[in-house]
Amino acid sequence: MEKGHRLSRATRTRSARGRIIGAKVGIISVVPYAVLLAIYGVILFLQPKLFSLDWLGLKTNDAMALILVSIGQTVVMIQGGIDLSVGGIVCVTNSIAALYMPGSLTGILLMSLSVLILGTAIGLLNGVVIARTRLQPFIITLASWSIWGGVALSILPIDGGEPPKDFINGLLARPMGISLSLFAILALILVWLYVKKTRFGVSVYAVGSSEKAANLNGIGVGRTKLQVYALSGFLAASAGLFRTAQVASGSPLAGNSFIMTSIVAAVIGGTSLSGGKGGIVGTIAGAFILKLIADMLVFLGVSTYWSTLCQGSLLIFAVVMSSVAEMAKRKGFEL
Amino acid sequence: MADLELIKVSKSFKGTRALFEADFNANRGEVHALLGENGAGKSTLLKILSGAVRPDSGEIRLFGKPLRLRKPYDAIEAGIATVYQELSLIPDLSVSQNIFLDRNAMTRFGIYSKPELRKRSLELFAREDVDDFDPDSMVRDLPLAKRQVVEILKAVSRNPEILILDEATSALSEQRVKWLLNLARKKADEGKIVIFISHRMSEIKDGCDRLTIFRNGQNVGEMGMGECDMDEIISLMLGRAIAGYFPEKSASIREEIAFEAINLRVGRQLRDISLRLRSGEVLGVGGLAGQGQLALFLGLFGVYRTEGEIRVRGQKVRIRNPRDSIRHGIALVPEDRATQGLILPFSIAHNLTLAMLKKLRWGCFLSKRIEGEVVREFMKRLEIRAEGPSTIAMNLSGGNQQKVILAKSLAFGPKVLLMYDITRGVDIGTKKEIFNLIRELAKDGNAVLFYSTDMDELVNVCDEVLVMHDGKIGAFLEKDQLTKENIMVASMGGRSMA
Repeated sequence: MEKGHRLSRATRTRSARGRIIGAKVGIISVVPYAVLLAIYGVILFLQPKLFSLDWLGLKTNDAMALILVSIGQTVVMIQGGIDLSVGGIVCVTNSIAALYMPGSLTGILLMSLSVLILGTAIGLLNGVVIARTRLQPFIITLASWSIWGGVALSILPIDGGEPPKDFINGLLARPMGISLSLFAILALILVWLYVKKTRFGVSVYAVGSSEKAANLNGIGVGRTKLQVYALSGFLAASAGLFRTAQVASGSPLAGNSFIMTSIVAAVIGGTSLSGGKGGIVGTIAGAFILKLIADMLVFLGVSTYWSTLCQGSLLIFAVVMSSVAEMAKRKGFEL
Repeated sequence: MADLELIKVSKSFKGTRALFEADFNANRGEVHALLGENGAGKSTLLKILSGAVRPDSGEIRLFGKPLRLRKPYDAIEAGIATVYQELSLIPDLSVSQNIFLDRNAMTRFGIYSKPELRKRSLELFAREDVDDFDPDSMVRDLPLAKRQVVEILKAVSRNPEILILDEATSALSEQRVKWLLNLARKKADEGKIVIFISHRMSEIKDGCDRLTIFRNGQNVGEMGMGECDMDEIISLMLGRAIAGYFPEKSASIREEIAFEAINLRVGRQLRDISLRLRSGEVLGVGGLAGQGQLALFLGLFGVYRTEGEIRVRGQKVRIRNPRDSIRHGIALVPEDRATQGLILPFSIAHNLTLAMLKKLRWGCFLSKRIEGEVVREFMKRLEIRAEGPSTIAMNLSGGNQQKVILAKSLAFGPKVLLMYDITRGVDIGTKKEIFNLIRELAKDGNAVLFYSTDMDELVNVCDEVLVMHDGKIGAFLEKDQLTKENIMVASMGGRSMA
């Protein structure tokens, strides 16, 4: 009895300390959301009329393709890799969908499905090569980007294509006056909160944190890699589809800008380039930040040419903040 | 027929033979010690048993049935849990997530639920009598000694048929070692097989029933604990008799004060540290693991920011980073060979000269000739056993890696040596050579600060010992007070008996 009491008290004080440190880190992980709110606040201050679900839906549609790609990128980064092939996948899926999408409903569904399967297959292929050869994912996916970007150019050498109206209206639909993409984001977050706690989710974090230790604990390291690259390919293909509807056209080069921005969105959202840390909710905030910065500059009367400068500064700020958090956390402990 | 049998198992790594037709037997209900120098093949044998390494040939039988272990998962499924020497924890997951990383811990809907894992962890802690852990803290934030305990708890939580403890005690405090030995005994009494590896003879004597000795990748002897004597074991391990394990302590202390720290403070981890090192002195640092020893060494070496005064040969100096301390002739020999001291893919020669590139400068190039001379001298002096200076550090045995680190620290001619637990996980033969080297260095007029978790080493190698307790110097033991008992008492925070 005496011992039980001592035990519970010891764990209680420990966990209290754990919570204090948790709170410290919590402040840091709130940063991307705070920045997002601040930017939105500035925009609302300048244009109070924009406080509406309509505008929010518009902006979400605007950001949706980037969000989809960034989520895939984030999962790959948590696993410790990087996926540059998303550029190629968006290019190729956008080109195919814009050029070959038939007008009938079954046609649209079948075409969309095949495009998604194509993207997943490309990602899977990346994963197989990375897991088998154990080469740097940077190089493998760089090659993959180049290959599929080339395929896109041979399918659709210049911007063009005319996707069917039904397809466009379907993806940009606004049931109950709220755009579909807002629902999609909500759904993605819920799915993620579940997946994070599954075997797959824990494996992704474990492999990213220490591949060797993960292997010794019986986690399938190769399989986890296949899964994350396939997932990233699937999401990049979804982004390609969505962009097709959003722009109502195809472009063989449209995907290339997604490579850098998806990585930046993930990092701003708190995902570490060295693996093992991060999550997609922060990434979604990161993607919105990147999109809204341009708007904010417009309303401030500053040339949008400044927006990449702002994005870059923000990236550095994000990285510095996370390393400061890491240090603060470490100081509280004895190594 | 034994319950666990390994029959004629062989394994080579890139031409180096680690195991050659090795046999190994262990039975339920026994704590079985596996002994041998580093490089004798123990680790390879264990890695085969835990599925981390596939043997080239040979057979494994568990309870009479052949067992195929192609990957670590197979071993876990077969009821084999391993406490790895280099630990198998995921730094970015919490303690409870690490402990219950196997799929059996999943609850409804195939998820790992945090409250559930926490509950199970607390149950496990209570069952195994561990009361100073928060299940939710990140493994990355724990000191080595605690991580080691988590690694042990993880293995035990799987309720294995075979529990393998590879150097599991090396980072533990004296009390925790006792706890682990009890745990091993308990598991054996429950009818499990426990395989125990340690370089500390006293633990093997106290905790084990049978022992098997390996040398050069083969089983060279197996005996019951009662029927053996230490000399026999050691000569079987080395293949030769060993005399005078600890060196003679010659009176080498000079009057000159080589190094002095006054009222040193490192963050919240260390305070009121005043110590004085004379030339030719070996000053030991003891205490339970995690009482600020690491902060002391890293602080003195300039890795941590310190407040207070540091004097080198009477002169006040500022040490803001390791570069400063190297310039003032202070060298740190770290504990963790793989991550702190060596660049594994580099050759011996490159590792050795890393800290003294300036001295090798020939115009704007590095002189290969001077490098060759330096490297050959140190390889000879420290008896580093390798094919040549160009051998890659990764391919050396643990003992030889540690010697390369020592040589590296000595290569730029320091006067003050900070040795942080450098004998951890090092085999007996190499330990003996390291002790001799330390005394020799002292004789040459160097000052040595020597931290070890092994009290025998402190008593037998050092001139004086200071014992750390709770971030402060708990006691200072002069020559005539230097006994294991006094170190022990001071470690627990008590006053030493003069």
